[in-house]
Amino acid sequence: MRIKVEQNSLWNTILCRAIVIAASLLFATSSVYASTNIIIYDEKSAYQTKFYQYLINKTNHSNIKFITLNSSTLSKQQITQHTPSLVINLDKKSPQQLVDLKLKIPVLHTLLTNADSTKYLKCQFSCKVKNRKHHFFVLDQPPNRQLALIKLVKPNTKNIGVIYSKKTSNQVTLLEQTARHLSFNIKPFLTNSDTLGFKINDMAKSSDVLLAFSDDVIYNPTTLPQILLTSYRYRTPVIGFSKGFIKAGAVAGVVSNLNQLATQLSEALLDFDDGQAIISSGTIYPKYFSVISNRRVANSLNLRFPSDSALTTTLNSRESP
Amino acid sequence: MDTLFKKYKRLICIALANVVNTTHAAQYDLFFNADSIPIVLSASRLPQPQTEAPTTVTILDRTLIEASGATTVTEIFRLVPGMQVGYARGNFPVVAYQGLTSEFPQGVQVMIDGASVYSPLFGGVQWSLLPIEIEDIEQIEIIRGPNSVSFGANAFQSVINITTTNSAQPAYSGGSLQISNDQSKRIFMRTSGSLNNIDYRVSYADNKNEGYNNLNDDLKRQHVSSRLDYRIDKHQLLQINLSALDSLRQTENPISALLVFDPKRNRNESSQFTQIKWDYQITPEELIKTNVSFIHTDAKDKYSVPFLANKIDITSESTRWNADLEHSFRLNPSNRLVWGVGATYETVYSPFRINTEQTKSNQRYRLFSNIETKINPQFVFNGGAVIEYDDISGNQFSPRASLIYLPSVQHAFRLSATQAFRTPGLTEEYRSSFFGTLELERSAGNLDAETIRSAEFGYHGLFLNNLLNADIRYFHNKYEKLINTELPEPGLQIIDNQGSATINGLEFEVNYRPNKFTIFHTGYAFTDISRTTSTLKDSAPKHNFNFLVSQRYRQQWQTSIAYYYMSEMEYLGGQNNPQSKFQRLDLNISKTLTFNANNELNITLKTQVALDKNTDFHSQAAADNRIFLQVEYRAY
Repeated sequence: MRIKVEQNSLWNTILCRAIVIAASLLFATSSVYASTNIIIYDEKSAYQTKFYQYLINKTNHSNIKFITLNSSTLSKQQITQHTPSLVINLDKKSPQQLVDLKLKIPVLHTLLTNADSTKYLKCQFSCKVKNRKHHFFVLDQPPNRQLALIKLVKPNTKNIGVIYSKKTSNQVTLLEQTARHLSFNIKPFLTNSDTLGFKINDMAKSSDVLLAFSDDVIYNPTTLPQILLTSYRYRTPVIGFSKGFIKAGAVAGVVSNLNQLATQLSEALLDFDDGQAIISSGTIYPKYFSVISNRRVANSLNLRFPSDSALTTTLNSRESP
Repeated sequence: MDTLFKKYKRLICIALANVVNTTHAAQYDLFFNADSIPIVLSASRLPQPQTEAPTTVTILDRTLIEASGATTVTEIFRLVPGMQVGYARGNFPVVAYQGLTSEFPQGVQVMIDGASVYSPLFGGVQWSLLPIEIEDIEQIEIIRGPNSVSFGANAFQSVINITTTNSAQPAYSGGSLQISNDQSKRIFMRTSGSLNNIDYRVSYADNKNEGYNNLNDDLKRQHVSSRLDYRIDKHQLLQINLSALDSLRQTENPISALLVFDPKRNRNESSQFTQIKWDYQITPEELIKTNVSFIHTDAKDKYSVPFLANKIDITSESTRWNADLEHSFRLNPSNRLVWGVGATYETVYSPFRINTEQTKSNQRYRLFSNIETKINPQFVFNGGAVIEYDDISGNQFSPRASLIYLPSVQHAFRLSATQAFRTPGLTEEYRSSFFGTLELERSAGNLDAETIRSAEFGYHGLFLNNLLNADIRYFHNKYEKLINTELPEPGLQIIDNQGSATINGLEFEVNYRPNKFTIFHTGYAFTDISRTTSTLKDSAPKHNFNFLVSQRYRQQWQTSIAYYYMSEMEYLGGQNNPQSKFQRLDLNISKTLTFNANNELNITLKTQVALDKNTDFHSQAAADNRIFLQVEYRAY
């Protein structure tokens, strides 16, 4: 009898301990699923703040928690003390610091251009998919999307001019590979700020369309008038990469606004929260986009093409599986 | 010393860091701050699509101008259907449209960047004093037909709208030398650059032209011009054009009997031109343009003749101030409105023509408006009017209406009607010229404005993926109250409004650019002048034809062939009537050599083959073959 009581007591103890362990495990697991992400951004930057707000709104019904860190005061201890699942960086000034910190968790850099990410992703566009820690959600549109737009805007295009600096030379290679399949001929013009005027002239004389890369050596508010005026002189339409660029005088472009970019990132966060690993070769292109055109410039160049929404729908339908 | 150096080094580092950060920030501004980027290709820079234009327009862009091999600004207009280019003397070019003209075509309004350079002295434009060089022209838009509604008085037969190259592009410095087989020589130099938001360009040209072989019509001309573009902010742009020109124009009456009264001498002619233009682009659809311009010309020409005690003084001086304000905006998705006001003040000093040492003046004020209504995707209506007051001829009213039918975006049929006017110039209203005691001309006084009632039916079509555009139009113009300014026969000539004419015609133009290397351009005009006096009847060539093909090759070679034809005609007051038919074949070849990544050398050989050796205003003014060699260096 006594033995039985002792056995019961032992079982109770084991059961109690099991319950405690299970409860602890359950608690521990649940705390993992309510993942904590670090967001690094510059509070003084209007677009970063706006993007952060979009991200909060899109994830507020999930278990995802955000801890914000200011990019100006960044340290490894600051990040690791919160045991985050992910680090999300919105600030263009922070990637190098984050790479140097050698964190063991994934780091998602966003609101960066391809040209800027090249510095941290040397193998850009030829990187192999491994257990990569740093992923770059770039602002640039993928080459196939841009070329598809050119086909819709100016169907008889053969020669596409590209002015680039050393910063964006990787993108030219990728563009050339993609263009080959679509029977386009890419005419690349390597330049720097000293030879820009000459190269623009050269390019505009010989190309049917100028496709602009987001390369601040070539395209900035100072050089934009020269580029747009010279291209217009030779009736070479420019495919721009942002709303401001198109408003200034580019004929059209594929762009992703902050809301669209935040939607894509929030979806990646939710997937990660569901246990899916973030797998990429390093560069992740915008998933959601719109076509914007400048009808005044198009009319003046005798270019007639469907409405912006029709162009967006066409490009979307071509990309859907 | 060392501390000072360190301090200096630190300051440079901080400055450079700021520059880098600014560029970086600016790049992201392109992405996220659309409102901070100025509109470069604004409405004022972009011509209206020709399918939607209420008038017939020929556009000669920089590429076409370069391909044509034109050696002077006036030669460019041979590419325009119906436009006649002639030379009263080798140093006095004449550009007219649809005739009815002497060596001073008064029916063509000429604008440079929106500022009129119409001369208050003779009316029309004295092309030898035009304050612009061919290298500085970005585009010329020629409105074929009257357009007082948009350009006020004197846009009577045609409007030549010259746009100069923005000083932001192409930012190069360099020069060229052109020599020809007739001993003519031209040197052109340019420097350009930018300072913060200011882009500037300064050009200098020195011309020495021998004119016709058998006429004393040499020209020496020096011209300095500049353009400055200042981007005040993303909405506002300030443009300042300055020009100063000085010339010695040789002249002599080619008729030996008159030589004693009009001997060989040099007229010293000069002009100064200033323009300040302010564009305020409120939104992509709303623009306010203001323009203040000033042009002053003066010609010193005083000489003695036998039998006359006093010297003959053909000295003249004129000044023109012009101010315009134009506001264009969209009322709603279907309606766009342009309205504006303008004022002109002009003075003339010309003792020989108005027989007084006094300076005469005239003031002009105008109010105009035009509305474009898209009735539905197929129909566009344009309606507008201008009311103008002028000291000489009082109030004038000019309306215009046009309806465009677009069966598709590639094809447009237009029907338009307008009434326009040309107000008399000061030297017409106050004309009183004497030779000694012999009175030659006298104005009847209180002259009315010349009027035109014009109707046209046209078609503009785009073909072959919009690479080919074709335009055809039939027009009927009725001119009334034309002022006779030429001496038809010896004796006192009374200047009055007795002239009238009717012109019917057909014009077409085709432009085809199959790729970036090939240009094909052709134009033809048939002009029939009727219901008028015999002198006016033949004042335009019945047939006018042009044709240009240009090809660029991979190794930076370029060739072009142009052919120009004008049937015989008679300029009013010409001493060689009729001027025989004109035919010329131009052959051009050029090669560009590039070195040091951003320097280029261009060598061009231009030949002008005078197929008919035709004679122009004077029987001694016989066309001859010309060969030009031009070497140009550009450093970007």
